[in-house]
Amino acid sequence: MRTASHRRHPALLVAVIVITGATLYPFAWVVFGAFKSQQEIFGSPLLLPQEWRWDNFATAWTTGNFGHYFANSMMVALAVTVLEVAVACPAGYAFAKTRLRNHAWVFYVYLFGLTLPVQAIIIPLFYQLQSYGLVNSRTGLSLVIVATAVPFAVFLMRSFFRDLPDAMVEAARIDGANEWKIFWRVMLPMATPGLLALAVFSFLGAWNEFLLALLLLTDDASRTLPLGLVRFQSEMTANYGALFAGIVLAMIPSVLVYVALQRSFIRGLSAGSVK
Amino acid sequence: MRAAGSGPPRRRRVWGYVTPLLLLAPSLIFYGVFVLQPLVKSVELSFTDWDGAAPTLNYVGLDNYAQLIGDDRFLLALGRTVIWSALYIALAVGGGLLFAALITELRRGQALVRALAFLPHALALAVTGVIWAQLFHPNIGAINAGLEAMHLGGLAQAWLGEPLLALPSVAVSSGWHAYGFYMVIFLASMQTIDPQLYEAAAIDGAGGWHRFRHVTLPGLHNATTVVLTLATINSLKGFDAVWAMTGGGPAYATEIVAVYIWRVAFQVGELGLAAAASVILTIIVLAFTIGFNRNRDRRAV
Repeated sequence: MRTASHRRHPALLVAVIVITGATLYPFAWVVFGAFKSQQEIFGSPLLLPQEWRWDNFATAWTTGNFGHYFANSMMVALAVTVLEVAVACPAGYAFAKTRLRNHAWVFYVYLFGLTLPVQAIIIPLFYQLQSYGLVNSRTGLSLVIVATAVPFAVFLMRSFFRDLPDAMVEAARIDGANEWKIFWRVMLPMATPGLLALAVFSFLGAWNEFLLALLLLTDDASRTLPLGLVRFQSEMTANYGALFAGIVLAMIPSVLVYVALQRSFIRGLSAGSVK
Repeated sequence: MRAAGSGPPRRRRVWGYVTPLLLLAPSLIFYGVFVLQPLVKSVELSFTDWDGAAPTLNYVGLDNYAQLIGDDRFLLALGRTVIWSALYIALAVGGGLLFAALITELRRGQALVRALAFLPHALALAVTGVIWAQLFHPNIGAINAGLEAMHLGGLAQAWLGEPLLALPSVAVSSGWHAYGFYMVIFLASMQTIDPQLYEAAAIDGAGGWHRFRHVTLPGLHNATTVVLTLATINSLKGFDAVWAMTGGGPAYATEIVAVYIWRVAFQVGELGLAAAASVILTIIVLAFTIGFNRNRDRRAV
């Protein structure tokens, strides 16, 4: 058995390297393109730039309004993260550790939302937000993103709280702590890894949201990054270098957040889904 | 709370729900106002011919549903959605499963490969669409240039411009974006499989393929249910990629139902009809979800 698996090893290694390389190549290709001149992009599309030029980034930054899109995305993503954690954490706890866990149908109302395609709500949602004066508003977009992510967030927090021992709750209750105190002082500190995972999911989910932003943001002043990039693509049909630079600008924040937090991201995904 | 505890048992039972319901309330308000309310309104709109401007709703019964069932454009969009979901599941879920099986055999570097394969998923799907629109570009794209570099220039195509190639090409970009996500779920699930089963299989002389077929796959049954449910729902998010890459074109070639709903609602202005289409889509997704999960419960016992 040992020898057999040793013999397989080189082929396995080659396959893994090829697939990983193919996964990463589009990133590299876009970055190379961002540093090329228009002639190079047409003449040698596969290779490294002959000379690393920064003028594409200057063009993208000034004509593409990326600084503005970036600020909008950041505001929406931070607001969503704070609200989502504040809203989903108590609910997840209620389903995991209070007597609500004996009433499965309430949880099914949330589970239903997990399977609901967003197309089922977008048409009335636009007019509803319009009547609240929340179209073209980062606040309006944030509130809607929080609401559509509630089912998943509550589901995730419920599974984290469920893993905490019931004995802790019982002990605190015997010591005379009331339900709020048990939640705030005893359970919440123990659920920190879950909170962190939820925060990362919420941030990236809001940062990457497209359809709801397309629905609710129609003027350039409120556009978020993915929306701004898609518009930039339709404007830069003659200047590919600037478009590549715009893509890189849109990619950088997501990649940085992911690289910094990938451990808790992957841990959260593994814990939330296998249960 | 304390006072309630000393009251008669019936009152205590009622009071005992106050704290849990207060804990639930914030999420329920968000969910109720911005999800459940518009959902009910969608169903109501689907029985009207509302155009977005009329001050009152004019109810037309099942007319919108009748019109959709007889409408080739809608039926073709439904068919494309089935093809799209199948392609997405084959590429993203199938790819994720195979790659997970490959890297569990690695002695070292597993965490690094896992993190790298997941990287595309950190991007917005719309950004992924913009990247792949350039990769598939007929003149500057890496795919045609790569084919030419391998002396296969005859295979070069206007990938997103050809009606038959456009949908699979968009699916490739979505597969690239998502396969690492499913891979992480499969890997987590594989780690829960009893290692003794692999040892037993090895003693029986089973090779890599047999171990995968007879130990790994059965052990992943419940994870597969979760993944198929997730993938079916996620495949509808294909809207972002389609919108960024082709806008539903050329002509109608990439018009999946999600795109159909958007175009009919916000470009044509037939909101009642689009709402009816969204209700049909929702029912189909729910039916699939329930189907997958019934299968799970029965087999798990």
